[in-house]
Amino acid sequence: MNKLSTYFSPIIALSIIFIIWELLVNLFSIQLYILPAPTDIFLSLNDNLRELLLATLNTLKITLFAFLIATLIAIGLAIIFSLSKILEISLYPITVIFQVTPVVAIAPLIIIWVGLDNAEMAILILSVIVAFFPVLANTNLGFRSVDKNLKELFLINRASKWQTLMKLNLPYATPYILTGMKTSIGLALIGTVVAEFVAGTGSSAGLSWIIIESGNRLDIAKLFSALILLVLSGIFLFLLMSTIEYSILRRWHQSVKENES
Amino acid sequence: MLNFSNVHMKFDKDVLSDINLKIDSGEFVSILGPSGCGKSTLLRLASNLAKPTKGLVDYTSHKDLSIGFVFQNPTLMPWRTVLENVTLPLELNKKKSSREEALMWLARVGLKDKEKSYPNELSGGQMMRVSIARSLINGCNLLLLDEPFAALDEITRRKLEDDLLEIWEKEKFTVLFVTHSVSEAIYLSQRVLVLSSGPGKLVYEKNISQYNSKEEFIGSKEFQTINSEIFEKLKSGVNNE
Repeated sequence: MNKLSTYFSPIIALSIIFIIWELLVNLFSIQLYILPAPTDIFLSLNDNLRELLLATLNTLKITLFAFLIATLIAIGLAIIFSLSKILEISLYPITVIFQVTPVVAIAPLIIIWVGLDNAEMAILILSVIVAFFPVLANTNLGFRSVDKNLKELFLINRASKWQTLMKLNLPYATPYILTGMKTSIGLALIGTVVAEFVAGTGSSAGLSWIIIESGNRLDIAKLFSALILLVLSGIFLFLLMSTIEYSILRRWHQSVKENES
Repeated sequence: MLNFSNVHMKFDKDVLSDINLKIDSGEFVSILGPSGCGKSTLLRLASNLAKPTKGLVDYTSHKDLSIGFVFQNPTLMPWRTVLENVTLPLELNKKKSSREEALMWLARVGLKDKEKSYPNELSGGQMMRVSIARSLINGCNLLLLDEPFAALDEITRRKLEDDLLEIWEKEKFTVLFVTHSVSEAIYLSQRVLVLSSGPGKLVYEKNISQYNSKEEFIGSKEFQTINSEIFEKLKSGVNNE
């Protein structure tokens, strides 16, 4: 299969689905407030473009910010765990508690703590909680996978703990960290959107608010527009992470090399 | 250079038992033995990566001991270029990372134009050459090799052996070379030691007379005689199990 068809096949498939959708809506005269036709959705998107784009930017901003904080916390914790076994045993279960608790369930608590007028901060915190675990788990795995002989090489050369961390553990774990980050960036978006639903009603300027508002008004075309932008945001974030991953691993890692050849 | 006195090593069971061994400065010594006889453990003891359960491993005559270790796998860092892999020991010892020195060592192991390559762009033999250059750059005076050429084909292997000998003849560092191959041990070293298995004991020691030409040596009757002699010792070492 050539490269062109890799890109165009999904686009053609999606176009066919849109055409069938349009035909069915017209054929059965489905009401606009039940299922709008794709053309209605695109018209609504066009009419509300400014408002929708601002909301998208707002959601993306919090998502990216939460993702960065989550990544830093996760790598930091993994480093601490790698240096101290006792801290790892003590703290790892607590991070698992954060991971398994549904964000919706802890949202009210966080909102009370940061204040009802501080919705964005609450959303940020909730999104960080959702996003940090995959990076932590993968970085941890990366550190534990470091080649035994390379560790011995560092020991023979009397490397300090800092040198071993910076010159061996972190570079060795990089592909693992990036895999975690790729999962994490998607989760950060989900976390932000869910948190906006719970915490941000009325006071948030994100896409969730538009979805809630449009749903209440039965403006389903606008709701779909917001959904489309949400999907595009997710794809954008995934591609962003994939590009970063590619540019870092391009020269040396098997996963990238194999895809190229 | 290196002394083992009454060394015992025990993990779950005895691995090495009653090892007494003296290795002189500048000597090239090979260690042969069946799988699992503690050859690698012996190298780990020599490099201070492990401490003996009983007995003593100590170094003489070298205050500035610098140990180079070549593993069975090249053990390169895939995210670093060949040059950056070679300069690693200098970086770790906070010596000025000298590009010229690394290039000189790369040239000596026959990898003149490969400094910018990444390990995944090299062949197995080339990777092993980088590993050797890295182990020598730090002014190494004790080189420990753990079956370094086991995974290579015969031709590549012989070339690497010859290059290693050439460097050793100039630099005169001490070499402890662990191998499975009887002929490799005889070809390379001045002295061959045979370990028995379970637990590893030194059961045989043979000094190898040095010929002017290795080619001449390998074709000689003496080479064949030593070869079958050591082979017999190895076999009886396994049978003792």
